Amino acid sequence: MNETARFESMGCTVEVAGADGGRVDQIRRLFEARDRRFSRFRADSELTWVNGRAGHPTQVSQEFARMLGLALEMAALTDGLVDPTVGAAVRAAGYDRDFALIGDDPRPAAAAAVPGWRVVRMWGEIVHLPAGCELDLNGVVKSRTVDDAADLVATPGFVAAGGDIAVRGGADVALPGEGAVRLLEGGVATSGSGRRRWRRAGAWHHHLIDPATAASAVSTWEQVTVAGATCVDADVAAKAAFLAGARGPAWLEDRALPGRFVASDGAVLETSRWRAMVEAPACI
Amino acid sequence: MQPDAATESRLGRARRRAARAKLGLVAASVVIFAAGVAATRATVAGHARHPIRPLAAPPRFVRTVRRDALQAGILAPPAASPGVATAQS
Repeated sequence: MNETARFESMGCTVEVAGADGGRVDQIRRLFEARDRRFSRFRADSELTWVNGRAGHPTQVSQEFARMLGLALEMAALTDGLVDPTVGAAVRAAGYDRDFALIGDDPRPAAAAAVPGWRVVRMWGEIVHLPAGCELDLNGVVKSRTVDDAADLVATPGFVAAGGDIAVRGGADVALPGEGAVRLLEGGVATSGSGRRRWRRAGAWHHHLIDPATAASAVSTWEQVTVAGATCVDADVAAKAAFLAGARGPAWLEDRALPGRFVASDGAVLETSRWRAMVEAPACI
Repeated sequence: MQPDAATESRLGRARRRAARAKLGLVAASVVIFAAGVAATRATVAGHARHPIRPLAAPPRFVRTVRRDALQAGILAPPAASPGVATAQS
């Protein structure tokens, strides 16, 4: 495996292994193009433009339509736990600029609603958001970009962005807290409330919004790690399991997904699929 | 009794009987037609017996498909020291 290349994009460090200089440049351009199109913090992004036209039918690019379609599909698969219409709520909670620029703020968080993914209408590349509805596609955009970038690396190789990882040919991955696992195929992602968080009027907020309350989710878990067939699958399942709270492990068990939960006291819980894969077989 | 008055009275009664008969026939026709439509809708194949709904998979089927749509990655015990870390994003 070539040595790991690193660059900053989408507000996090992107790591690429198994790619030569030309491929790394290609991957960097892919991340930058997606960031330009889907950033909530750029006044000139297509996402900002679409959000600004809420209440009116809007013609979007093919790529935007594909990504929004993916986000709506993931919302359906998670029964609305991972909802792309949380844009106004996450902004009201205080995440209204690049995370590096957010500091503690004495003002309390504002109130906002999550209209729910079912209000979004799409006819091909025509999108209609009801007035006041704001999209936040960051989750699926980053993980999808990791998956797409992983198609550009050699085997063995990987692409990681802010902890979302997709591998080609396998890679050993350090886990939150302690421990490691070998990801042979697919992607792995971790979601939690401990890192991307800030204070408003003394109260902690984070970027994982519970659509039911339109506020930062209160979860049983500090972080949830899931291995999926793709990084999108892993990221969406990790977010959903985190947002499901105490029901998170059962949610993953129902879907036979390997997951690892870390509680706020450091206790670790693994799903049966995770244990079966990671524990060495008794005999071969 | 004057002949004209008697004739007028008979004609009047006959007209009223005819009007009632016509009304009865119309009412009977409406009832028979409605009963025929109802019977047809209830029994003849090709006539919708319930309000028409768009074609869709049964909810249980949809739930099962959705539950299985997210696929698992493949894990194994670590083989070397980790080259990358997963962390909350």
